[in-house]
Amino acid sequence: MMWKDKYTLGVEMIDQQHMELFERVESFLLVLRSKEPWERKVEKVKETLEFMKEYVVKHFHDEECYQRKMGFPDCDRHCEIHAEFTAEVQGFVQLFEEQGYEEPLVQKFAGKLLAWLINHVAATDQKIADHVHRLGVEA
Amino acid sequence: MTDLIHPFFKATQEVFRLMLDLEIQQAPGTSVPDLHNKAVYVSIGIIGDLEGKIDYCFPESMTLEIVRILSGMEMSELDDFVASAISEVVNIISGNAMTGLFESQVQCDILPPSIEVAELRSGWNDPAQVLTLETSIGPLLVDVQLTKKAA
Repeated sequence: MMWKDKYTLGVEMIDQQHMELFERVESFLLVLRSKEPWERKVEKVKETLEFMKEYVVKHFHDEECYQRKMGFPDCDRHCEIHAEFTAEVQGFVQLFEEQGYEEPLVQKFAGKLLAWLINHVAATDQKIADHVHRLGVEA
Repeated sequence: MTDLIHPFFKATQEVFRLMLDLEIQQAPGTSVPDLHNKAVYVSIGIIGDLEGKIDYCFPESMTLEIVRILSGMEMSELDDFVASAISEVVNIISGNAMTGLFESQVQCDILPPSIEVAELRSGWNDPAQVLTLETSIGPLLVDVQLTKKAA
């Protein structure tokens, strides 16, 4: 299981969205890494990308609103990191549309997504929780 | 003079702890351990106040184990998925090391990583610039090849 309790920030809305992201990515990886023929996996790949395009944008927006509400001092840099990742995902989507959903490219996307998501939630987002903790504010 | 090695040790330590729940220790001396079988080299270019590259060398088994820890799934070969995940881990370590250097007023950026699977190299450029790190899943070498940009 990809999700670990230590990723919990203590902010219910954000934690729920993170858990949803982890569940969707894990289910995507299970299909992608299965021994099924590629033709059978492609539908799940397309479905995950559609989900990611919409849900990640919503999650980033909600998280950024929360950061502003809490006066998180690194909010601008955090928003930049979100924007950079969104651009990378869009870059992959464009490649898929241009070159087709070729397995090596999709595997490459999945590896990047896995490591990026874990680092972002385990390290970068924890700074929000640290800030809220310091304020002593009830989340 | 700025310590160019320590930010990479600190960044690797932090990333291994947060992403993999693994502790790392710097091996005593400058000896490079024997790595058997194939190794994965991830090279990342550096531009800015310093120029050069950092080579990260992971034994094959360690690379597979890192991606297994991240994904919760067994990995049996160095395929595109594994290569991409380990490249991103190196990207994250190197980005964090750049933040560490910036705190010493050294401003640099990283370039996209490149990856190669090969037999372990027999020689290293300068053993004094090679970080030899030990973890419970194997040794990791970080070869810091940086020079000050000419004025």
